[in-house]
Amino acid sequence: MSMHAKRVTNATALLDPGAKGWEKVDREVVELAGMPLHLQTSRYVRTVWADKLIGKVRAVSVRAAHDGERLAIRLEWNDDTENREFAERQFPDAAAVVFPSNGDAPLATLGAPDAKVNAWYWRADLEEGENLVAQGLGTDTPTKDTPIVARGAWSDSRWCVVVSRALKAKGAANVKLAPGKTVKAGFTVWEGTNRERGDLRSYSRQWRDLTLDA
Amino acid sequence: MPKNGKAAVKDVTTHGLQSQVAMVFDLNKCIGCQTCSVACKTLWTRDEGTDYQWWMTVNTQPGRGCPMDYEQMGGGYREGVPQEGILPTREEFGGGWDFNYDEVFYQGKGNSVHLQPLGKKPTWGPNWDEDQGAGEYPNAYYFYLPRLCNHCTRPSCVEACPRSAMYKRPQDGIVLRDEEQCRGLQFCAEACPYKKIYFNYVKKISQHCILCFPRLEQGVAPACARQCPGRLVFVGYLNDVERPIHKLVYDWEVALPLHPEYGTDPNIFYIPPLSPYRLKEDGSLDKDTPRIPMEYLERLFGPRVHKALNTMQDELQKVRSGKKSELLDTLIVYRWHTLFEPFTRDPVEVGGPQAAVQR
Repeated sequence: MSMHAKRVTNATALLDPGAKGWEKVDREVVELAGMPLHLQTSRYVRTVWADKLIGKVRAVSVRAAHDGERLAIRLEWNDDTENREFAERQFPDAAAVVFPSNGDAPLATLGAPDAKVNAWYWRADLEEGENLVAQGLGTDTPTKDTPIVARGAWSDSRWCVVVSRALKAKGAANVKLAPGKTVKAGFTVWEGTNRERGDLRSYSRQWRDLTLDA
Repeated sequence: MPKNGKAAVKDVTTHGLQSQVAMVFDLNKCIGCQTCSVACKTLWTRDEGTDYQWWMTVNTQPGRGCPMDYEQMGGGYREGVPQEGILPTREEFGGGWDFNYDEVFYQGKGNSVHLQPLGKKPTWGPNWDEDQGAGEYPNAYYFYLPRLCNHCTRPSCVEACPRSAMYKRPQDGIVLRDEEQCRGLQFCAEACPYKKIYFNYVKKISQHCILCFPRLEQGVAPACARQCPGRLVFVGYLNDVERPIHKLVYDWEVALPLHPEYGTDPNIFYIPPLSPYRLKEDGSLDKDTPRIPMEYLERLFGPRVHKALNTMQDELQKVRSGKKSELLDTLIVYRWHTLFEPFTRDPVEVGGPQAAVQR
């Protein structure tokens, strides 16, 4: 299934998750599934979470827009509890949009040693977004070469989060973006009340094609 | 196994160790002065985010410990299977108290206002139930239990980390964390049955005792051990057969790990406390019953505590009858340096206690 990033005149105005401009952008609902137990890299996690629900959030509504300079992606999902901090046996809510760094990479394992993925990461307690590169589960590492803007707003039991990056990027692991180009994108969400962190999360099982309007 | 090239199950039994640094605390000599706690605190956990962290704590036993009721928080292994653990909260560790220093010291209220924690009234602390103990007069009893990271041989924290951010150093078995790799997921803190891993809420990563490895590397004993006024903390290599640690643990078998049933194989050991006899109602001695119930000590140190205390009593009897006891001589520590060999260097020799930890 294909999604597209709408061409707009000013994507910077869309960095605010509540910006009116988002209402004019089509949305696509992406189903999410819990990360499989057998993929968890920690035996502790595989043992303790064997009978627990992994991936409480089961759908995310996605909108995307660009202005030739910047791509902004807005994720929206239901969450009764706003987890802004590490506190009282709970974790901050978080979300990420994942791309193969170069053409293709396995999504479920967050890349592979010879196939990097790039994740635009938002976490509720962080002031700024993180630009992550991974080569497998448990290997995600922030890169400083190209910043990610990430902002989240919670109201009425719903998170609205925008992650965004300039189309031009320096590092080789950053996904290459240009008007008219199609890239693969995956989505992942962490629900902090359910103590989701690391690879305890929900994710879109398959890559979706995302085309930046010419 | 995921296709990320990492072994999902690590070899948790050997870690390719060349040797293992260990400590023995003689609980018969601990006076609960907290000098070890403060020595550690002032050296390692002064920054914001570490204010509530006490890598070294001394609690009165019986007691609820720190974090509060940690013995009911799970973790560790049962028959080799990881057990679910509860993540302790900052409150359960006792929080970090801010005091009204400004008011008392600088605002001229030194005679009218006393020093007290600011904000919400604390309900727990690192040594909250100090000196409470158990039992009824005249048979009340308690003893002190210093605790730090056990640098276990089967560290459940290391195995629990999905990012391989923790490891056991091959050269000395110290359990460390790569703070660059840690993302504050805190599975380590859940899995640690001794609950000695803390969350740094500024750096957003977990932290724990590093056994003063920068000091050890320069031949200086850990701060908690060197600063102990009671001279009761032995430090050394477990496989060093000529030195006290090996003898106490393996030859005399009087040094025991805390809660061996947690299955992580600690490398911090304790000489269990002897206690006076109970007093009968008529005031005479009940020579069959030690003041500290053996069931309680068995719960803490496992069934081997009986043999350990019997050995200690036998050696005491030997000395009382005029004979010599190598075990008791070792525990008396006639020469201070025998506690730490080969880590006997003075921090001053390597540039002072601060220089010893600055790399």
